[in-house]
Amino acid sequence: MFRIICRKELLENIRNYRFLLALVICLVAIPLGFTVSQKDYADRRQVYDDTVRDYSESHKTVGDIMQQGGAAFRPPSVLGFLSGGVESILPSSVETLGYITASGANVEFNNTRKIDNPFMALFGRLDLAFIVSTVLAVLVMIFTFNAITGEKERRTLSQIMANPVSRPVAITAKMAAGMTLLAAAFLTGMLAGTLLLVVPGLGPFSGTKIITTLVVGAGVSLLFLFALYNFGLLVSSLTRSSVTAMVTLLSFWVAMAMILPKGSVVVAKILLPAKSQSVVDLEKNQVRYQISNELGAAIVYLTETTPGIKNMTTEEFFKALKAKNPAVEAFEKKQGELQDEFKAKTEAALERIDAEFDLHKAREAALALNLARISPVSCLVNILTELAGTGFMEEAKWRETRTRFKQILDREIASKQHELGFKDMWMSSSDRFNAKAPAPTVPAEPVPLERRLAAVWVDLVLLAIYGLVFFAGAYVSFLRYDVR
Amino acid sequence: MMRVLFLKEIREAFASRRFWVVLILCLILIPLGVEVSLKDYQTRLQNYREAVRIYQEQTKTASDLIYQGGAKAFAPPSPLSFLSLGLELVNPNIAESKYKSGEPPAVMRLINSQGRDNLYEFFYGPLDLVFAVAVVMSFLAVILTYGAIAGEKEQGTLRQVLSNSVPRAEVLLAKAVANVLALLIPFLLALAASLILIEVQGNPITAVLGAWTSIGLAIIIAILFIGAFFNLALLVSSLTKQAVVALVALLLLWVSLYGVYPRLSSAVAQIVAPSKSEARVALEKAQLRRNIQKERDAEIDHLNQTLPDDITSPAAKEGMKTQEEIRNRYEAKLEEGWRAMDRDIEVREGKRNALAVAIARLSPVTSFIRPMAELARTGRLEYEQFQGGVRRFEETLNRDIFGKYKMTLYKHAVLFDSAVLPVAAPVFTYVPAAPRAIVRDVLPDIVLLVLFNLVFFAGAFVAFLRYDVR
Repeated sequence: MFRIICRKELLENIRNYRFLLALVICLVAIPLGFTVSQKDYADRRQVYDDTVRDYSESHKTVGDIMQQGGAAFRPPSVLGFLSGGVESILPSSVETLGYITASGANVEFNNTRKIDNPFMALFGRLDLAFIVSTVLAVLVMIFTFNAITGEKERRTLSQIMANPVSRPVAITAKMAAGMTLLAAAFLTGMLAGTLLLVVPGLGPFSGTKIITTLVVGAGVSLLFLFALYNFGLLVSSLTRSSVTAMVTLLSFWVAMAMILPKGSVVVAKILLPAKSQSVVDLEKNQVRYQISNELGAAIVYLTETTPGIKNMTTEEFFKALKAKNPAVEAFEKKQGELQDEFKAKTEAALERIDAEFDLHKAREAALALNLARISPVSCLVNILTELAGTGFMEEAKWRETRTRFKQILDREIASKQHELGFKDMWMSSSDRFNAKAPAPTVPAEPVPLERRLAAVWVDLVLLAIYGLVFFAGAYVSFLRYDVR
Repeated sequence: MMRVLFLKEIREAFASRRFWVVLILCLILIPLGVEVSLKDYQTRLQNYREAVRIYQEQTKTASDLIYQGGAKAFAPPSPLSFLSLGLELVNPNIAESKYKSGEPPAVMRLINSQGRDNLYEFFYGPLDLVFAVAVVMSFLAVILTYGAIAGEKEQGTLRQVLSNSVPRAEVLLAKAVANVLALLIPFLLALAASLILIEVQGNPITAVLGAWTSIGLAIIIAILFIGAFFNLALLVSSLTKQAVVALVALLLLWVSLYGVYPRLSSAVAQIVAPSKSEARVALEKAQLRRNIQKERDAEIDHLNQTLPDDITSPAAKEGMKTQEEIRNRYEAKLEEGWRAMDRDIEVREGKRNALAVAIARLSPVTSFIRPMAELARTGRLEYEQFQGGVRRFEETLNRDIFGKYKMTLYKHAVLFDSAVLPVAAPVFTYVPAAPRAIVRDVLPDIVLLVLFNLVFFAGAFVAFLRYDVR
């Protein structure tokens, strides 16, 4: 009997064009989305490669970095077609601001922003996350809204139930048939899209890693469609008319896709407010300025209290320095200690501000993310985005890269410099470092798939749970459904 | 007869449960969206105010401006962002002249530092009126209308209605008016509730120039957009024989119009009329800078070799002067080069954007989303306005501060001319785009939306006249 109902459902969905609709949409949207994203990626990759080549040609030595400033660039994500995520608001590079002095490199994100294509930002991207969470979600609604209510309205449900068939078998058959068709349409689209990416055999897309990620992405999407399909069945078996079922489904979808995730961000911001980046930047600026003023005052005090130095003119001082005058050398040493002390003080103060900000941001983000997980849609989007390497892991990694770049520059360049101030003269010498040494770089390390999956295991488990819970709900409510 | 028909349709539309579900959905979704957007706006406003306050405290004189992280100009967030968040999170919100090694001092760079502040907002997308209308209301228009004709035919009631002495035109008109009311009344009620909500909260939107004009136009555009989808649904319903087929065809149209077309239109414009990306421009600017610097440093080195070690000698003074001239010359050359690049980019982008707008206008969804962003002051016009304001500010800075502040490198010493330092730092004031410019920009879209409505309705009318009711 299971097979008969299954076949009936399959034929019905094929006959009333639903399967055709699903197939056409998947075959159009997925390959188109992949191709457009791939073109976009290829353009950005080209610019990235050119930029990196240009940079490494012009920044061969430490001396080049001293003169022109250093930078590290973020490679665009190959898998952006899975989900654009937050990639377009991540800074494309980190760079030094001003000269690298003994007090350390000032490494900041390049936030220079002129949107490359304002209409892309306004109208959104056609990535897999959008296709599955919006386009296919709508398809699922079309497949399920009248799965039960429709049959009741047409009075065919009571006829089916008049046969010796148990209700569990009937609902399972309905689910299996619909899901099979949907999965077939989706996987066909995915296959077509993947072939389009792989066949030209262009570098990044031939790797097995990408295929593995794509397969995982397709699996996760199916898991989501399974959950949503069961939810549609649940709603259809709880309502008496098809239009009500459709409107209810739509309402829930709006709640799941938009209100919950967006609302969770607002709730998190209200409950655990954090400062804004520009305020933190300004505060850090202020601390730097204040401490450097204090250092200036301390050096003035040192100059005035060191006998023999106080009355020297600048010219005399530097002559004495050249002649290795012991008083001047002692002064230089003391000033060096002072500078080190204030440098440590600045670093500690800045680190404190950063750590506090990071902590607040992390708390806020965790609350927002966890609240949003109530919705299967945000679970799906989160998984796809992390798989694509355009999500929050990437953002955190990018911040880490900035810190590492600063550490490298400080170790290789700043710590090897030496400054000496006297009255209104400020002299910096770089006798301890080799300007011809190769320029330090910070290597980009991609996050392996296992670590990406480990970060989203909660979402994966939740998606599976949602699927099962919704099916159980549909099952129970269908058992009690009045088929008359 | 028209009255009888109209009353029948009205009764049918309003007595059904779906009307109440729609009403509740609208009454929850739209005011909630407005409330959430307002809260979001208030956070951004607070951040903006805090940043401006700290900056102004830190930067009172030109000396602060030179020694403390440079001049900054801030763009305020838009209080109308509840209409459309548009490009608010991606448009630059700050311009700064932070000194980067090798750059001319007062080239202000437009930056967006709020990426980390709004990471999750960006990720999950906005809950603004554009979302409520473009996704939910258009979808509702489809669901509530797909059975208007094909459904009645299936139930056999259409035949009965037409067996009376009533012209088909009246039947269709009554249907259209009653159904559109059933759709628009919940929407307008929810909108009214939202506006009351805004008023109750101390009305933050009055701060904007022409706020009510914008809101009024936004409502008109929204109604026209919902009408376009409604008429499209009516057209499809009167072209099909089965309600389910009508629904499937409509959702295919909906997915193409909302999901696929707008997203492709921007890509197509980029492919047909390509413009350089930000990163490409940065690369080319860096290359130009390096070339110019190389020439300059060679010239200065050459000069320095001919000069004595003693800073105080007259020859050294002469040398310093020459050096300054060289520096100024190359700086001007660099600035001119960069500006030429910017102009070139502007021309290319202008072409690309014009094409994108033209392509976008072919679909009711895009001719709804784009003007909404402009009306909410979160679109391209506002960005261009900020950019223009920053350019003027940059000129003031160069004229009053950086042009008068001179630095000379003499072998190992740095010498400053610091007469300008105590002067008060110039303050940037933001001038928003003129309401008239916005209205002019959105007018063609309004006309197009009216046309979409007329064409779809006319199509439905003709199709219904020829409809086989058996």
